[in-house]
Amino acid sequence: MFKELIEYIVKSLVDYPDDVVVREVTGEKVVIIELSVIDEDLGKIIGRYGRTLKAIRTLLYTAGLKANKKVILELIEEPRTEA
Amino acid sequence: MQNYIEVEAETVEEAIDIALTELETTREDVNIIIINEPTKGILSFGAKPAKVRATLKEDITTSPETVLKEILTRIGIDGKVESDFIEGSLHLNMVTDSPALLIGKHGQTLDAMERILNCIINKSALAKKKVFVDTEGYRERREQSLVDLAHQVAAKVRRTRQDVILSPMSAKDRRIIHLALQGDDTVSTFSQGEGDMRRVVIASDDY
Repeated sequence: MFKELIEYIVKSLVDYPDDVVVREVTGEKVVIIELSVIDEDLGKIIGRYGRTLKAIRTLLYTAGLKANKKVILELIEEPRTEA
Repeated sequence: MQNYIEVEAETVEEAIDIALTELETTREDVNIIIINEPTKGILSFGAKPAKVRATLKEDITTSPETVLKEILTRIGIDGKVESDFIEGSLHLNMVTDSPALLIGKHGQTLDAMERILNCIINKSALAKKKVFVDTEGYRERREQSLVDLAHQVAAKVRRTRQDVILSPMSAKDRRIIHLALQGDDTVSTFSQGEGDMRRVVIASDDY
């Protein structure tokens, strides 16, 4: 569910939705969401002073309250792999 | 939902032109990724065409109401979204069974929702239009309680001649305090601190 929320928001925000990757790791009380986007889109989801990313985390936290879980969003910056 | 196509042609420009014709759109409404630059082989051997992928930008017909509803559903909250135009701006009101959850501490969740929604709907728009998000008349109640607070604290400052520093607030909330005391010539207001810790100071003007 958290994964779907993040996927929807992030894919709507970026220019390259096909390159959005979201992974959900579920524990008993904690859920970790790992998110990666291509470099060109990083700024779009972080926003000025990190405000957009903060807002995304707030909504995720709200969804967590509803489901009685603590949800953590981690932005994964993949090292560029050379072809 | 496939919203992109891949096209091969002799040059990158040609491939883009074909893609735009296929998608019946213009250059401004697509993102182009060049997958292959063309390479010339010897005679026709080993020559590779140019390949591009054209992706349609976010569907412009996606309405703010729909986006907000989609987010709500994924948060796990059922309800509906009412819309209203006030002074030319779109105001969205969420009618759900969990208003407190959607408001958050001092409207934090409401503000987050508003920000994300505005980022999404204004992503590809040239003329940005702000959309306001509210539930259960929270915005108005918050404004009223801030105005009341401003007047109470101003009275205390007048009485004690001691400046009072309010707790940290969002820019929107600080603005309400400043405006509430604008016409009061016994006190003045200013803000201090940075970022999330910025606070309004109500200072005595009467010396």
